[in-house]
Amino acid sequence: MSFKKQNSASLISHILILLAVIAVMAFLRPESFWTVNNLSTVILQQAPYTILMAFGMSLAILAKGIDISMASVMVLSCYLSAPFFKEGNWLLGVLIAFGVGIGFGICNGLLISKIRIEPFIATFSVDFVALGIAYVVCNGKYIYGFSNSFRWITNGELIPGIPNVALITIVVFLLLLFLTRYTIYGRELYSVGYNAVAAQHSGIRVDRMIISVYAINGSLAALTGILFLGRLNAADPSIRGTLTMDSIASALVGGIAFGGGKGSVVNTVIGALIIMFIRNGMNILGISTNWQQSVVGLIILLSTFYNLGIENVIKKIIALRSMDQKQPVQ
Amino acid sequence: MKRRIFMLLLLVLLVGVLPAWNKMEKAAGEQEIVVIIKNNTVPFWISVADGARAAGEEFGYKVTIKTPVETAEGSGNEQQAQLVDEAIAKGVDSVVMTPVDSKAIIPVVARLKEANIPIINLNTRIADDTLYETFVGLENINQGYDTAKALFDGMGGKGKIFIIEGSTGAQTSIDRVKGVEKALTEYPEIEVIAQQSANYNRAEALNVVQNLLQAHPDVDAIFCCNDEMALGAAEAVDAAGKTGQIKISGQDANDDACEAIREGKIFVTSYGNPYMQGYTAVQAAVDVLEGKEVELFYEVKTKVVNIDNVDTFKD
Repeated sequence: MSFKKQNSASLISHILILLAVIAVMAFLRPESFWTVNNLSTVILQQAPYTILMAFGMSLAILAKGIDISMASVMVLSCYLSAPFFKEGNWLLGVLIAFGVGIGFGICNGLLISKIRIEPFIATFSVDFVALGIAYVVCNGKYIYGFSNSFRWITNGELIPGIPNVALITIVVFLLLLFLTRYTIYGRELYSVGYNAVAAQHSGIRVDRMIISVYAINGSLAALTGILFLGRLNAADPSIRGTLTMDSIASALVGGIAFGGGKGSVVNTVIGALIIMFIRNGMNILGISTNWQQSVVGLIILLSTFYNLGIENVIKKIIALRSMDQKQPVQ
Repeated sequence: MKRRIFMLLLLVLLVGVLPAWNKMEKAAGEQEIVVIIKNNTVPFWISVADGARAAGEEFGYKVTIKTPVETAEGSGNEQQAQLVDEAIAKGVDSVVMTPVDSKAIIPVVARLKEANIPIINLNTRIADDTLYETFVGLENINQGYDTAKALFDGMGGKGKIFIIEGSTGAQTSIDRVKGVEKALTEYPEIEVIAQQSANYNRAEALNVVQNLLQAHPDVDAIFCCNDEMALGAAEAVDAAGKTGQIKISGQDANDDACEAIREGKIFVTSYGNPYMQGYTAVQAAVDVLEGKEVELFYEVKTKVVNIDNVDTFKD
């Protein structure tokens, strides 16, 4: 019970950070920042990619791992599938994109669970492999110009006012929320992250669990890649950009504990929005892009301290309460 | 025991034969020019490499292209240093060098000079001009200036612009912005209302421009320090439904940007003729090796590319 309370308190505290960031910006630049147009641009057009990637990162972190390779796997799946999307052969494009994504994901999972390489090292190496192959395949030639019907997947509005990319992100969010909260799989994921040995002893097939987590990451990377093609209208290795770092930052800032087993995909969304609003706000304020890096770094540090502080406070409150409740019984 | 002696003999044999074999290869007629450039992943540098190879074939020299894996200034410089040391150890005849970091490369290039290997500086200047025989490249300031003028003329000589810079510290970006500033002095009615970096990166430029448009919806044109960023900016402008209203300029004239010019998404860009840069650098190296006189600067001319000459500018 206390565990749940702790989680929801931590979540509320992170929503407060997000609101604080928005409030500061709205105060500084009400005419440009605090407009429906700007807020919807950030939330519905810019944030979904970081959010989708950060979902994968969060699952890996929840299982006490990390996935450095996601952004490069995304680039590679983008590159290999882009020619087919351009030709209009969508089915093959989707199959290739997800094949590459899930393939690299399973590969990560096998390296980590069966060969027992540290998650950071395993995915870090796979990152190089995937990006290297992407560079070889691309050979300096970018694939530019997709049909409007393809770009509709990202930019179209099935529900008026909400771009499809945001709709897809919401669907993925609900699926993951259901998966992690209300299924046996989700409970097992948390137990593996919290204590893999104990999970193993209680009959959870830890190896399978880890492989499946990284496979999900791979498919999220492939999905993000396809959506990115639509947004950018090009396959270009530089789309890797800061996505890996931003998704780790989102998980951390959102309050997902690096020790594993703590946090939820709701935290991820909050974290990603904090990062995106900081970048948006600093652009609007006209602060040099280079400062964004330092500011994001500082926010990660602060939120880590904040998490520790909040956790201690919550623990104390819970301890006090349980003492109060116990006293009459004694 | 026998096996060990055998292996030892084999090793001695190999060590003995290798240098001789190496010499034989050289004696067979070819002098080697090593061309060290920034990377082999971007269209621009792939064209530079093609031009260099073509010149090598034409003049009968062996041209080897070397690139660092990392392009960030620190690690890229470290890897270029290794490539230079390999070239010295191998005893090549000349090195064409494009530094990732203009200053940090100085001690490395000095080692080449000590080894009496002539250096041709390509594209990006080495900060110490006593170290190289000649510099081959375009004048980025002029390129920025010409493009900016074409953009400003397209705006009718007045209005508000964004400048989207490349990676901070990159000499190409600094010089192109200098070129814009030079052009601005001639167009007093043009005002820069925002200036930010998007790291020469398409996806970053898309977000940065989208954010800037929130703060300044009244902008008339966007000057970008390369085509990748111009293409990102074009998508941001497109998403805002302002294609054609906001004019965008790039640099480099790569294939995507030319396509975007035909579609009316980009207004103007500039062709840096990378093929000619690579070709001229190797030609200069050959001249030095053959004892001919070389000038201090070979300027590769740039060309402004817009809807009128987009299909013909490479001829």
